[in-house]
Amino acid sequence: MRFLRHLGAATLLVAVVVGLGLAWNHFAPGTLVGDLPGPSRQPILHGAALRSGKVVILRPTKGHAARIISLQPGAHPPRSLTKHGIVVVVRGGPMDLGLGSMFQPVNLGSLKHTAELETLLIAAVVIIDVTRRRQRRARRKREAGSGVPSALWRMRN
Amino acid sequence: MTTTDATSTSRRRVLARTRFDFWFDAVLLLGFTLAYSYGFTGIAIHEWLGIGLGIAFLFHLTLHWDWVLRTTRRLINPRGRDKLIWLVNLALLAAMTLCIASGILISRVALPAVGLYPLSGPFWSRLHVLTAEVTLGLVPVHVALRWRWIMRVGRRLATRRTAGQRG
Repeated sequence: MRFLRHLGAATLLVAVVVGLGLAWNHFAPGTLVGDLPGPSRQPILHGAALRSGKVVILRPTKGHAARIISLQPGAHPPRSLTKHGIVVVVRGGPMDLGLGSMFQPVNLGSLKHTAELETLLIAAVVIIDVTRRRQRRARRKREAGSGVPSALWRMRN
Repeated sequence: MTTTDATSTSRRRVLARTRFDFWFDAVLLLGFTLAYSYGFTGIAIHEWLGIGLGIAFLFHLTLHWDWVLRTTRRLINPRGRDKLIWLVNLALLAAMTLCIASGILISRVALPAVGLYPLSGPFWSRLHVLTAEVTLGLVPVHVALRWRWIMRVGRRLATRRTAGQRG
């Protein structure tokens, strides 16, 4: 029962945040400006024929959202589109997970980049935390040695 | 039940919950890392994983709801570190919720596959990218602020495994 109560509270909190997002879209959609940043690291099919599936242009041209076009098997993505966007091939549909191409070096780089960034951030926070603790300990030792009580000692006593 | 039995049962129960938290959070971190790596996963896995992460994130929030209430009440006289953790978590809640919600709204593969064609538009696409980047910055900070707990539990789990193999 406690779990369900907490789940209800958490869901409500999440719903509030989503509601704020919807309100943002309704009242001030223009505050998010600019093109979608950064190319994805999907391989671009320059001049390659498709076996099947749709082609999704991720990066929009100015003023247009991302577009989806369908191509016949054996067709080439039009050069005019590949010039302006990054082409992602959705091959067989929603359950086609693209497992075969996942570990190609160009795609693996994306995972490596994410992992490196996360590791750097974690390391930075840990180093800052350890440094601050050592500084606090050193300060308390100095204060204990000098006979001047620290704020913490004063609070406890 | 004697006092010793009750204490050891309670310790086992705490340990099971701690173990579950440790591994569940590890899976969450790995799932997020994969989901963010769009180029690696491709759109289909990215979307299905994102939906799964949304459910897991709600579960994670529910499991730690006690902490949310306790720390929010203590905000009047917080330690500096508690306040920092609370602020980071609040920002992460907002960013991740908006990231997942906007991702669902711009879904091109997963939701259309089940017959749902959600709203889309440049606002939601941009919000999804922006909140994904903010989340990428906040998730490692959220994890790292608990590094001592992670080390402590990791060490205890490794010790348990070694003791189990020896015995």
